[in-house]
Amino acid sequence: MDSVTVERLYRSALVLGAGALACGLFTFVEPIQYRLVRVHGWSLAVLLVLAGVAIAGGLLRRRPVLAVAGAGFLAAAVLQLIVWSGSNWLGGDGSTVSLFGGFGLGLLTLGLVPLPDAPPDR
Amino acid sequence: MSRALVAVTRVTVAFLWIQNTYWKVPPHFGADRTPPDGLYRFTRDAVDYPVFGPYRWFVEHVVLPNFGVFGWLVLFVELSLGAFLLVGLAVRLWAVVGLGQSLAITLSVLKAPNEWHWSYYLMIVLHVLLFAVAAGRAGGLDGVLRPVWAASGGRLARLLLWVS
Repeated sequence: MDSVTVERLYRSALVLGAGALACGLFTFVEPIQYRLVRVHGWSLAVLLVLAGVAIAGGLLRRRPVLAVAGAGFLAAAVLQLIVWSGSNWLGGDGSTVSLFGGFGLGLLTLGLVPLPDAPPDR
Repeated sequence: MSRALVAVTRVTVAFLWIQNTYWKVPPHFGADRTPPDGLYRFTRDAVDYPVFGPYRWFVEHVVLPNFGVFGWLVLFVELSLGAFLLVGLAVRLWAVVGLGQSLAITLSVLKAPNEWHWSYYLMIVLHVLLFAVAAGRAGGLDGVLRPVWAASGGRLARLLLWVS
């Protein structure tokens, strides 16, 4: 695979990680109906930690790290969906599920997509 | 500049779906409240304030009696719309899904009291626009991964090329 495409892949991971971090700012938006996504408590902690992992993966250029961040986000999305209408100890709601799902799908795809080998130099 | 504006539009539409999942609370989706609330109430508007006769019949005789199933279906569709449009993955496919969901919402609530009908027309045309410009290729993962999928040539890769 050409180096430009691989470079864009890691840059995308950095953008996703930074985007996830930025979504943490919605915690401070008042009144609550203007929060496009609701993250607080444990869901905010999960968001910030996994965003950090994604950024680290992008900076270190390690696709397995991106896959770990993506899998973590997907697991957190499933967990949030399960606990949402019960104890909801994660503190999010459907918007949190969708947000975590998006970052999870994106990072997991970047981490796992098979990169064809570059053609040999002639 | 144009690509950035397309990306901003895509992410904004994603947040439209993301934010509006918070009130679709499983497992009853508002059907257990007195009076009914949430997704159940808005779905019921298709019967109480009908827009299109066959759709009213479908909601009254198929959707509402099986609302547990349809509630989960709506929730998963809208969770997925938010997720895929946010990161720009398979955007043409999800733009079509979003168009279908916007039509379903329009047919449910267009004639309900206190609704601004242009909201629903705008939702429909926004998804048409996302499809038309293949919005995932501008600042989304579709744009990053299409060269990878094209070089790979596998069946899944060809499918992803087609829906991106």
